[in-house]
Amino acid sequence: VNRRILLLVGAVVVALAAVFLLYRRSVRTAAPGNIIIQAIRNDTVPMSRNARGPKSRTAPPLDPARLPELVRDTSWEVRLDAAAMVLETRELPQPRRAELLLDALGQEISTPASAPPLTGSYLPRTGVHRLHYVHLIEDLGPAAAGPARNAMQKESGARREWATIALGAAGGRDAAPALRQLLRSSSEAAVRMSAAYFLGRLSDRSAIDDLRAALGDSATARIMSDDTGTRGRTLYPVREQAAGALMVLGVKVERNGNTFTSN
Amino acid sequence: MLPLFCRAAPPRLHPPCPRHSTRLRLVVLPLLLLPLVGADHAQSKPDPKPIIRGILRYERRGVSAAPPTGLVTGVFVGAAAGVGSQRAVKGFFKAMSGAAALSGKSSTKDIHDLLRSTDNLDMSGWPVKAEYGADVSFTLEEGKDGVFQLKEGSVSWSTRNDTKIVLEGKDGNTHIFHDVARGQGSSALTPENSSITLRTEGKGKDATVTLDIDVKHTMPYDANALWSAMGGLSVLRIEEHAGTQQWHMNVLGQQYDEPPKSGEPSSGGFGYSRTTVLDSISRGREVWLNMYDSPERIEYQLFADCTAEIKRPIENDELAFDDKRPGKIEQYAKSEVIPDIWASAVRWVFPEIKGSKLEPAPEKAKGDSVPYTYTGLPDQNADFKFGDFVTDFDSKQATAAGCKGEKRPAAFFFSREANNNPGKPALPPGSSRSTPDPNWFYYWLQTKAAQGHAAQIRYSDGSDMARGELRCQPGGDYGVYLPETDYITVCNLAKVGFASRSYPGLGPVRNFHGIDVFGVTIRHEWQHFLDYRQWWGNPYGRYIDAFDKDGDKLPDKLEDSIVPPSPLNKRVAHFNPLVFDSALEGLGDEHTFAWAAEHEYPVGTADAEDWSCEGGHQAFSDKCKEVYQVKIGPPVKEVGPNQKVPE
Repeated sequence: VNRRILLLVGAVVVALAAVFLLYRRSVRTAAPGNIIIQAIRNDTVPMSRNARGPKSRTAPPLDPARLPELVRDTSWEVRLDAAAMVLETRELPQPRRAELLLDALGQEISTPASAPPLTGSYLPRTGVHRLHYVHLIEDLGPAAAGPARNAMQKESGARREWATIALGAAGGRDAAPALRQLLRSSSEAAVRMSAAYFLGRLSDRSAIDDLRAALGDSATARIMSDDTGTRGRTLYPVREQAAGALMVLGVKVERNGNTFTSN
Repeated sequence: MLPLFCRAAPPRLHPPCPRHSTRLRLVVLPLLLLPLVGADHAQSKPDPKPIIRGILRYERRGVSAAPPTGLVTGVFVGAAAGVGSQRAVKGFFKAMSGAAALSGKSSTKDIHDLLRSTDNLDMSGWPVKAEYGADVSFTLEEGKDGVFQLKEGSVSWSTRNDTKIVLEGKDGNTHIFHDVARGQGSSALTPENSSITLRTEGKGKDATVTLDIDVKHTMPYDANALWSAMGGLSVLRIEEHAGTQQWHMNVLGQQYDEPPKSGEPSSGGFGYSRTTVLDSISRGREVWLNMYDSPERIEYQLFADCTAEIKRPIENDELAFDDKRPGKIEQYAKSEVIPDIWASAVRWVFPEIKGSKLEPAPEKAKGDSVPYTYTGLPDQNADFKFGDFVTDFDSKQATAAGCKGEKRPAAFFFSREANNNPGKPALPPGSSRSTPDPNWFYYWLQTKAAQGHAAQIRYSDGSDMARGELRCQPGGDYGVYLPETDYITVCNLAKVGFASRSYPGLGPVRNFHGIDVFGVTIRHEWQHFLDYRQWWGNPYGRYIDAFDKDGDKLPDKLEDSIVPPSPLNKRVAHFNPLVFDSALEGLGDEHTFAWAAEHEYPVGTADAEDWSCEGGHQAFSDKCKEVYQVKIGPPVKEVGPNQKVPE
């Protein structure tokens, strides 16, 4: 009983002390002297000031839940950033990442980047981006083959062609016949060039004849160089990649200017 | 009794704890600590007594302003005093009868107006030319009763009289009365000799404040009173020096001088009272005719703090030189001076910018608002800086009243795309351009963004030719390196909006802006220079087409052994001597090194040196801050200003 009384008394004393302190503060604020000083100060609105502090270049964190929407964004810049985030989002399973990157690749074909060519490149910006997405899929390896295969079956036209290249990049050997077909008949030089490159990567020796034929491909490109000596130089990208693929397959190739020969 | 400290385990410092003692101590200890907390609060922060400072200027002219010494003045003063006494009595009864009630918010002026309304006399035309003036500064301190009372102060006073009357009598009996007096001085105000109080009455909206002033001080002056009668045959002259009087008489040529009579100097001063609402007590100005019909004027200001707060430039303001040549900053500095009576006493110190002429000269930089001009940009980027604008008071009175100025930092910027810097252009060989390099190039070249290569960096505005074609192509060139040269060229980055992106696949996806674009461009082109030197310059002395069949700027015989840059090397072990783009990147093989090298440039390394407007990293407002928006993407590694740039 004594303890309870003591606790009760203690609580009352603490409460009274708190009330007293609050009262004293309010009395101080309302003291005549303070009132006059306030009136004299006639406090004005604080002036605007610039805050000095470190500037941040850190982009706001990206919501992984928005990735499916962002990789299909009509802005090529958003797509590129979103694709980079896809690779960094480790919690996503590899096939899902591949699907997202295939979506970015497909959107790049539907709404190609329109920025000026990059220094040193011989491709328009969209060509560089398409190769970039393909290489990201290549980095995922066999886990990307299934989604690429699905995309290849689902898509048509240029999207199907690039899905085929993506399947080859993922190491899908079943892409080889379609890649050979692309090398022979695609209307797009970047597709033929890429098909040649990945036929070499797939070590598809049955493609040697098609690759030899591609050494005479007439598609040209101009180099956007920051070296006035190289600037505007004409390049035969399909020939070059076909030559590279043949060399990977162990076929001897010789070059004389822009002419490639293989016996 | 419950011990405050007890032990739960063997150590013997404290007695053992009784049962349930912990809970009890939880109650008792706070109770004991409570007063200590209060005491500590009281001791560590003793409340200083509230202080109010004030200044006032008081003036009085006419009969009631005359110092006492004087012959004709004394007559007038005596008469006026008589009238004044009557008015005081009449006014008292008038006020008592309620015929003219003073309101609760009245002042000395209202009282005098009331007294003067009791008759139709007007003494303001009396020919007394006397005046009294006083400048007072004072400090009031709050007493226990909440009334502010005079703590200390000073008064500077002056008095003057020059009253002359000539009375033309018959037969040339002319009387001339001429009273002259002059004096000035200053003395301390103390609670013993004067009184100034400020008290509140009422509460809330009805609260009023009464300011009562009663200033008294000794008033030693020199006076000379003359009465010349009968055309000068009879002359009476009274001289006074600080209270000591001496009479001199000359009657029909007989001079008579009384010995000096020492006395105390006269006293001077004035009184004033005003009752008003809280909001309008801080300052006041009134002019009235007193009950002697003498004009009086008072102007006062009360203030809690005496400051010259700088309103312009605002803190960390951005002051940018304009685009003209020479570049100028034409602005004005403004401070809010409290009390504003000392506005003209505010003295400014503006930051010095080496190489830029500052006007006005320090001795002319006075006043609450001062225009200033900086003419000409500095030679060195390091001379752009945050500089302090400083105010103080060039007035002893203000200093005595505790007035303080303040410092306000503001930053100096150059206009990024103008070319009004004082430097010589860094022309590439063969260029005949006569216009200077743009400011961004000239100043950024002096920063860490140049990565120590400034002597080998040139600027091309796109007009000069190299090897038969434009050195910088319109539509997107950032920089150029020509094989077999030992310099790199930076193109007009304004044409690309001071923005660039990393090459997809050759490192993280990044956006570069402002000075970082300058930095990565230099890093990119410098890599070409390094590659040329390594693979061509050092072994062959020049680039040889025949040794580079694929034209990728890597020697064919070495390509099989050259490992591509990271992260390309994870996919491709080496380059192919017959293929320009061995890794299918859409890019020549040597160029992969240049693009990858951009990621070696530590983004942000030159931020602390970037004074460009727009885009400067020292800017904080819309005026000069970076114009770009951060886009979504992975975080970019930020580098502090002290981090060393890799050579």
